[in-house]
Amino acid sequence: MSRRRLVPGTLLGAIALLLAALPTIVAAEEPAAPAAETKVSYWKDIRPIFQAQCQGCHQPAKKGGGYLMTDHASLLLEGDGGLPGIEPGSPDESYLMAQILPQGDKPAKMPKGTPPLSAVEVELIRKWIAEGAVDDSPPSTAAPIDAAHPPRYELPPVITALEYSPDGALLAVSGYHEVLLHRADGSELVARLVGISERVQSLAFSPDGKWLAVTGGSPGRFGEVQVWNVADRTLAVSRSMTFDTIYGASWSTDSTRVAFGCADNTVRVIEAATGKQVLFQGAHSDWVLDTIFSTDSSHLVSVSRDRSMKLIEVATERFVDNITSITPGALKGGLMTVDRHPQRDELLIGGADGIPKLYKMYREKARVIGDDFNFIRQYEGMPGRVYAAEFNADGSQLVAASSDGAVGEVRVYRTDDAQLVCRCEGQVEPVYSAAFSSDGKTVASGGFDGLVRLNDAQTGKLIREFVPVPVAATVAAAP
Amino acid sequence: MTSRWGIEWVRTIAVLASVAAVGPSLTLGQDPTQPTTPEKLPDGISIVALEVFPPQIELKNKYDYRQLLLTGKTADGELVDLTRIAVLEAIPDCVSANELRLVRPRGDGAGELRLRVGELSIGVPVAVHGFTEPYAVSFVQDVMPSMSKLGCNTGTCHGSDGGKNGFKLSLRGYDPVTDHGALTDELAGRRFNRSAPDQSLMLLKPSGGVPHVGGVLSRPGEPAYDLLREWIAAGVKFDKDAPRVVSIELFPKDPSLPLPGMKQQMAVLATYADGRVRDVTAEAFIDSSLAEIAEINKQGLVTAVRRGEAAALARYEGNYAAGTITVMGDRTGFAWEPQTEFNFIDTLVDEKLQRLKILPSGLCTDADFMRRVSLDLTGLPPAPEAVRAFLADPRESRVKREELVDRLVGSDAYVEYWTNKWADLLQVNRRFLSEKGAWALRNWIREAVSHNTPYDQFAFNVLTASGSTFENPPASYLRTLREPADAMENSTQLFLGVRFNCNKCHDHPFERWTQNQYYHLAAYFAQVGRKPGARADEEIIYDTHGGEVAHVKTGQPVAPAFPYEHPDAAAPDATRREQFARWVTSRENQYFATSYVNRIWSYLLGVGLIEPIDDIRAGNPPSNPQLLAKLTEQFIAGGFNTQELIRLICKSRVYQQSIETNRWNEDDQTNYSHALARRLPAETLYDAVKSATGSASKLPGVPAGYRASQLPDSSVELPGGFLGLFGRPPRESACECERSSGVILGQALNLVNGPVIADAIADPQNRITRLVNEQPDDARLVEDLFVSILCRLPSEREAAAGIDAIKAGENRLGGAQDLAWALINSPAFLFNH
Repeated sequence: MSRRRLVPGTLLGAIALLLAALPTIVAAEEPAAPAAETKVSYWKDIRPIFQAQCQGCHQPAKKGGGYLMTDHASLLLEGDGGLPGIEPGSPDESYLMAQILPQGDKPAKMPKGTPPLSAVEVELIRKWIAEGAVDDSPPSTAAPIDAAHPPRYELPPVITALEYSPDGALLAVSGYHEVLLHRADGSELVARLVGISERVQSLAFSPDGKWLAVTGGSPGRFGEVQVWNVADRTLAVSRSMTFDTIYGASWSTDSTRVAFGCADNTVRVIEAATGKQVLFQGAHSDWVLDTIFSTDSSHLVSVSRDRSMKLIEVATERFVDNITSITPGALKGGLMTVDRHPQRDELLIGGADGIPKLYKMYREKARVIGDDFNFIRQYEGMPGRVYAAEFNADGSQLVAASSDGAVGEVRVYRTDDAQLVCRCEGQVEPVYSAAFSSDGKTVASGGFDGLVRLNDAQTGKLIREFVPVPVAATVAAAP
Repeated sequence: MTSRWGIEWVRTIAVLASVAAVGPSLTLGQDPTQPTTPEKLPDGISIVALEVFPPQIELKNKYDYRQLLLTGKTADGELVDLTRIAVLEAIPDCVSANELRLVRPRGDGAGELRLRVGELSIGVPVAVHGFTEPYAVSFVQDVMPSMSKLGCNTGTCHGSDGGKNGFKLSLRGYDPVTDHGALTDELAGRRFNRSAPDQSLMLLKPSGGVPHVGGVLSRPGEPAYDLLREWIAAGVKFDKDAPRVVSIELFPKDPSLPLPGMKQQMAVLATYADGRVRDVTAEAFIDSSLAEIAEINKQGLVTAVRRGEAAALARYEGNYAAGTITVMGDRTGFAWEPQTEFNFIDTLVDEKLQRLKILPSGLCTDADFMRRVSLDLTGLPPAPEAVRAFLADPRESRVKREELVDRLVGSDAYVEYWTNKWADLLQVNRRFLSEKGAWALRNWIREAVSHNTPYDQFAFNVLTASGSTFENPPASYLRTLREPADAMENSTQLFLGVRFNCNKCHDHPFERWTQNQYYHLAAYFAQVGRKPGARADEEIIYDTHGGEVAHVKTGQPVAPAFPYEHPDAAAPDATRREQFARWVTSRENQYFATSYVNRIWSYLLGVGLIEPIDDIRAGNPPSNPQLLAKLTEQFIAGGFNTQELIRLICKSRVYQQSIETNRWNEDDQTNYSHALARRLPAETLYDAVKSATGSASKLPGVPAGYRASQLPDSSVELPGGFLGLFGRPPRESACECERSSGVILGQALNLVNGPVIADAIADPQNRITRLVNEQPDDARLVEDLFVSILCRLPSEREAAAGIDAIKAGENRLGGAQDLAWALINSPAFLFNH
């Protein structure tokens, strides 16, 4: 390995000066240089070992043994064993060393279930700890993305969420690291709400139209709920929670609270003004993908990959009921969307079976295992899974969007007799989001191809399609 | 067996130590994936010629590569792998070669790559073009195999039934459509990011950017990462019409490695539907069937561990190819001796033995032969009078033996014994058939065995029989197997020796069979009706001409279709069962006759040419393909004549070999160089105890004198559960594995203390009592007991010890009973040898 490569460029000038000033000393010091060079680096030597062998279990989302190994500071902390993982300068007193070394005739405890670390790796770790377990991570080199440095697009991202503002003026569309606010007719991009979350998974305007709730995060790293002030385009609240993206934002009818679903199988509610968590419910057994409040906001409904729709009492945070039938194997891939009728406590759901269904929120008959008493009616099956389903403002119609991985559709149905009103033309690839304009005349939808389409809600005719993000000119036409 | 291998190890290590003392060390027992001291040829091997594969290299894009194989011919005519040993003397700038000599492009250009071993050198012309041109990454041809090789879709990771951490792929990538959806569509595109490809979860996870329980598998700059990244950047397209792989080939063919520790690089070439041939060594999987003989690492590098044979099974995108790896080991001093050949079996076995440097044992004694062939063909030991007559017959041994074989094949005892074997396989079980139905089916099988019904006709009848199960008993087959899928799985395993069950839920992980084929084949049993008959417990089986099987994935009905075609098809208006039966039982079917020949061979020799005998697949090749092919050919030419096949095998020298071993065959268990001891099966053991003692058989539910092999079904059991304890099959499936031939403690206790042997010996009506009364001379009495129980005369030492045993008894009868008990509890009685 070349010695020169290890010297950061900015230091070269200073060293050159030193060389000029003190040539004899430098020459005398030369034999010592190789020793300094062999000092073990956390960033280059140790972190890759932990990444490959340890972090799968010792990460924020799992935290095996109560010990985190994904950042330097956490390595020095205690795990469930009550001993510090690393005691800088003292490998023998570092609990981590005891875990990776064989004890007597017993093999090393860690890494669990895989071959032990090689002698070379163990020695590197021991030496690094003996040398003080120094953190030599370089400052991040990634360019920041914020309002001053908005994202740049070569290809339009997949659209995961879009929503009209209640006053009918704006159409919010998910982007990469941002939400894009367009005029409702698609004629102009009026604002870019840039945040720290790479992914935006859901959008919800408060019923009073003042706030926009955004959930998302970075897959496998963190989740975030943002609350934006719609009028002045400022971020009022950012609340990071869990270790994966967050889904399914919905507002209480008084516009004070936001509910959402998490990849840690929980349903949570925060106060919009402060970000304070006011509800935490863990009855689901898989990711929670969408939520909705009851008409009086006394109850909350959540749907999940675990195939169930659950009813929660808000005041007590108590699980009340499984609203859908939970016949095992009935539905693979779970439920992905839920909406409530604007006037009635009736719930529209969609999921992996591709069939939008309507349910009563509250049970009128005693519960029997495997029953489906709350079911009201279902709508014609769609290709693949239903990713989004939503009522119009008066509840007379509903729109549903689906994908089977290759093709997708957007359809409008009459709520009460399940008649098909129209298919929205132009949508042929997977569709992940659809919304009614506040006057009920237009359906907006978006999905895999990254284009927003506006269709007439009664005829399905395509009114307009546009790329919601500013794309570099050369590839603007793609895909 | 352990100790035998122990000795082999010591010897091998000693040989290696002597090699090491004078020359370079070998890497015995070391992990082949770990870097070791530079590989060198063992001393004493001199190379006289070099050959390189491929002779020239043309790389057509930046992801193209070729695995070089350099083979040296030794002065002794052996072939050894020099791929890593050779010096890379020259390499053009346009390519690079790693330590395994996998050649990848670095830029457009041409030149010659040159390898040297000692005085010999060989050149390989190299050309690279298209390196800088954009390469359209294919999901089907590039991404899928690359992800498979990273291990993403294995059964322990995302290929498991529930996936891992919410992300599921098809097991080993058999279903690109679902996998494309999982990567691009699920959770609205969570796993990829067109706007910032490097931020795609599907790259961050395997490269460690996001914590991953599966570890760090690929980093930027490596082909697997770069291919995936380019595919994402180009918009995660699914090229579902891309040509698929139609076959793969494994190189070199059936390599032989002279000594443990030596290595052999393998290479895999795939041929696509459009005719393109591509080197896929880096993404293919090559597994060893016996890692204790040859290990194969992820790069396809074989390391010989110890003498023996192992199959190498290569797998790539649902295609399979197999080869046999032979590790010769040190055979210094071996010299082949010409052997007696009775028929072609001996010739073909000897060819293999000679190649592997194994010397067969000679013929067994006449007494051993008589007992062996009687037990194998009739399930009974020979009667003492017959033993004496056979031993006294002065004619040439071969003549006597052949005559005995001819006499036993087709005899009444033979018919009962082979009826019982087929009653196992056709699950004659009153739980499924009622008692009357079980008797009817057993009697029908008995008729077929006694008439030596040609095997193809027999199988055809079983598969197509209709009507009352009482009137037409083979219709019971579909009374037992009530679901189309069960009937299909059972029929393929029983009549073809092929297991069509893994592919019910996903493509077969070790064979070419697909999930679709499972349902297409099951559809042949979709139109079978069952209704009650007029009598109690009677059922009528009939063809309905309606009804379909639904595919588990789509829920849609599936049309009948065969997984492989042959020209001998039934008329189009035949019932589905007739079409299936014709396809199965045809001489054109590559598995039908072969699987049966292998089954019979394994019954007679103790180990199948393919083992397990009902698991025929590419990765489980026959130990002697030539012999299996020739036996099959003869069997078909003879009109599927089972008795002729059995006579042929029993008259071979190979069948008649001694169980004694010599220095050159003591470690052989699979090449038929000596006889193998086999524990007597449950019914045979019971019948043999009765025969040896002369005590009359008394079994529940059948007339006195009936043998255990004549019992109608497995629900008849002796007090104490003797038959079940010794491994009689419960007859709940057609799997040969139902019959256990293992040895467990409970068996030993039963033999020592149990009622079957104790009662037979103590029976006052038995032969022991009679002999004691009729034979005043102790020496003659001992001889009679040996002949009755072990079917042979005692040696001088045995005779003396026998007399002592009789004298030591509380009375003469007691002494004789003690001796009989000791003889019955000896391995010479409990095993067929």
